[in-house]
Amino acid sequence: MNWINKLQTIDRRIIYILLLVVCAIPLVKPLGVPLQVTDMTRDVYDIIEGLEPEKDVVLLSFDYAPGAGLDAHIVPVAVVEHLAQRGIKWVSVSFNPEGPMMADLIIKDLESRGFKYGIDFANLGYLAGQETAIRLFALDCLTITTDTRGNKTTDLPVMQGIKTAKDFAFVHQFTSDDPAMWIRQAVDPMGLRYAVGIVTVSVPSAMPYYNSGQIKGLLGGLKAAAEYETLLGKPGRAVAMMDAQSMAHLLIIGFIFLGNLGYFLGKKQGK
Amino acid sequence: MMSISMNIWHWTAAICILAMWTFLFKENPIFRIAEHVFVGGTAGHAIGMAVGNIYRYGWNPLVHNQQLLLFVPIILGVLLYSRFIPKIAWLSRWPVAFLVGVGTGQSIYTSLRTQVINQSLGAMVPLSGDTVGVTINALIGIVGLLAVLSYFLFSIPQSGALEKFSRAGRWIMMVTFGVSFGNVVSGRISVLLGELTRILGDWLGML
Repeated sequence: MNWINKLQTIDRRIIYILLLVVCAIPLVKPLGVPLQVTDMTRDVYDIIEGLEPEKDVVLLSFDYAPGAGLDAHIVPVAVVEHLAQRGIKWVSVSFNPEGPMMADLIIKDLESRGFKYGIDFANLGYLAGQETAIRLFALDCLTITTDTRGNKTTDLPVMQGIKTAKDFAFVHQFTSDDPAMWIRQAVDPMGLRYAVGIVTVSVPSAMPYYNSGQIKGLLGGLKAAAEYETLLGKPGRAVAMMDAQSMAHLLIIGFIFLGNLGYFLGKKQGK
Repeated sequence: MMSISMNIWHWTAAICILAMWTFLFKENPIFRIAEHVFVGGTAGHAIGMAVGNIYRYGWNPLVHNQQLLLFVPIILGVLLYSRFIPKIAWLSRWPVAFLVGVGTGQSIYTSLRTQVINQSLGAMVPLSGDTVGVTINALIGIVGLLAVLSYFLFSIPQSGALEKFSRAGRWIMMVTFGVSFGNVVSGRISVLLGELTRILGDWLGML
């Protein structure tokens, strides 16, 4: 087997090991690859910057499971950090059974920093029924009678004055799926100001809604989280990971190039 | 500098991740065990949540608040399981009919409004923008939309100018598929980075 054939038959395990090494090195020693902030990310940032801490409450819909990995979870971490920095109150709800658990991970961190459950934020938990449940909740938020800690929803200070989704100043969904259900059942019919944080894989499915103005801001996975951290002036985990992401992409581009080179040279040799 | 975690959950997560990664070498019993633990854990959590929901939204309001109307959805829900008893399996058609009716009724109008009317309105942009870039973007958007739509014109023979135009539509779709694939690769790398952070950061304390 000559070297041209070898280019097309590289053992996949070599690629995996190289990928792990290329990802691990920048994580341990960040390279500081520059990052451009896109309009989609800046729009979410600007909306939150425009909210008033004394009166505005934000609704966060946690619609992803741990299986979606860090790509899904790192976006709400960045957005909630912004809300916390600005002192804006928020309420979370989930239409995915594992969603409340993911919200609790963020809440645990906030509580350790002195923020108060029930006053600064609350977790209303999971409402079964997916699209139907979104519609029901949007029209009557008090349909969820107790939060995940057993408190009456009507007794929570953060829920005072909230009856429908329209009463929230801003709605932000975090999902590993398509945002269409929220848009169909609540955003378009009720004219909500809505943005979505979505895993990188699903970004193309959400782009048409952003371009048409149905979504006011779009945060796509790790890259958007890194951009958000940059806007917050608090570069954290996501920014460091983008170095590793860039290196991994370079490696993959390199292998695609080598594979194609092998293919075309092999074809030429065959002639 | 390494400082291995003493937290049992960091160890559990790291062992599960490494067990899953053994599949990259080849199929093996360690991977199988980790896979079954994951599937079992997820299924168990889903069942727990389902039971909790029935209790929270069905049983509790029915028993403690005497919301007797809840008998209707509870009975319909129970009827879904009649399909496991052949003699009364036909009863499951009632809740299925109800679910299909509600689902269809709820989504027909909203889908039309959200995914057809509002998306079409979003595509109707002024051709001349404030800057050259905006104008070019608008032109690409309009021409691209028409070209892709022309690819799906099956009632007119694809020949001559239409054939060339629809071919352009095919190219645009191929670019879109490329973007989607690029996002898939990027998303998978992000997931890998998340797991690497757990191993290098939470477990080994290297980050």
